[in-house]
Amino acid sequence: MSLEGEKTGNSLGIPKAIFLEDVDKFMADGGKTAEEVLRKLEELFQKYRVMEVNLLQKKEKLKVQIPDIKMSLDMIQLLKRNKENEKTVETDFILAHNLYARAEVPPSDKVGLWLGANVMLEYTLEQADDLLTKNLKQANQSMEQTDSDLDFLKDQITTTEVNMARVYNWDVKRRQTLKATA
Amino acid sequence: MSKKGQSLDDDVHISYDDQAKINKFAINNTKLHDFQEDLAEKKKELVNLNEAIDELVILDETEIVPFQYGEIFAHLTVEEANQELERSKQSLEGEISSLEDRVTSIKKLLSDLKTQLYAKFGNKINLEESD
Repeated sequence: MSLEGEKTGNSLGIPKAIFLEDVDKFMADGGKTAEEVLRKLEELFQKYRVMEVNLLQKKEKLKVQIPDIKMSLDMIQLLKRNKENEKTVETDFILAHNLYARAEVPPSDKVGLWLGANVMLEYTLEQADDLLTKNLKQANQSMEQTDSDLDFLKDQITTTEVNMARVYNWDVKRRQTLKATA
Repeated sequence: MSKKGQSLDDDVHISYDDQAKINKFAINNTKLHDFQEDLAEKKKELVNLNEAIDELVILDETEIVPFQYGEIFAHLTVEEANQELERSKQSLEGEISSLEDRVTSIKKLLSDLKTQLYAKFGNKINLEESD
């Protein structure tokens, strides 16, 4: 008898924890000792925990990424406005930590986007806006997906916790009965 | 984590339905904490924005102020800076009110579940915060 169900209902193929409807029956059918079952449950529980940590890390990353993209989008809106009004804007930009230099940014319809891997690519403001908007949308979707995966995982974790408690209690009661009849 | 399940005894039979309720409680309890954290952060941000807006009032509309975008400061007129701040403020206020709505509905859900679970399991289950 297995404690893991089918790998459905979520995007990561996380196995579902089986709910023990009847501990007596489960223990009788399985033919395993409580120690064995508890060890299996503990193993499963640890697996879920590792997955949870990974997902939480992913979520933290997205939490940083999303405001970053929003900030870049704000900046592009400013550049667009300046282009429309043919206005030069003065900026202070960071040279090193705590050191700023002044630069004039003339009206321009081009902007460089840092793509990562030491690559920066020049885009028109319109293209950059589209790209960043798309990235923002993807990041938000990824966030939603991560949240729903976490919910699913939490479900399995709680079920496993309750299973462990019930098997443990079942075993304690069994021992007590054994003692009483002995 | 230890607060759920631990004290469940098989004297009370746990049905699949009960398990689902316990799970729902656990998930939403975590969510509540997340949202409340977010909310506190956003409210602090709003206070900062309002302070900035108040500061700008003393300045002349045509005066130039450095306005922070990520890592750089753009020199904007007070009027432009005000527009930027108001824009940020509006979207922030929207986010805050939607978070508040969610917190309220989760709180209601949790207290409903609490009532149901305590009714069934009594002192065999502990749904209170451990810290």
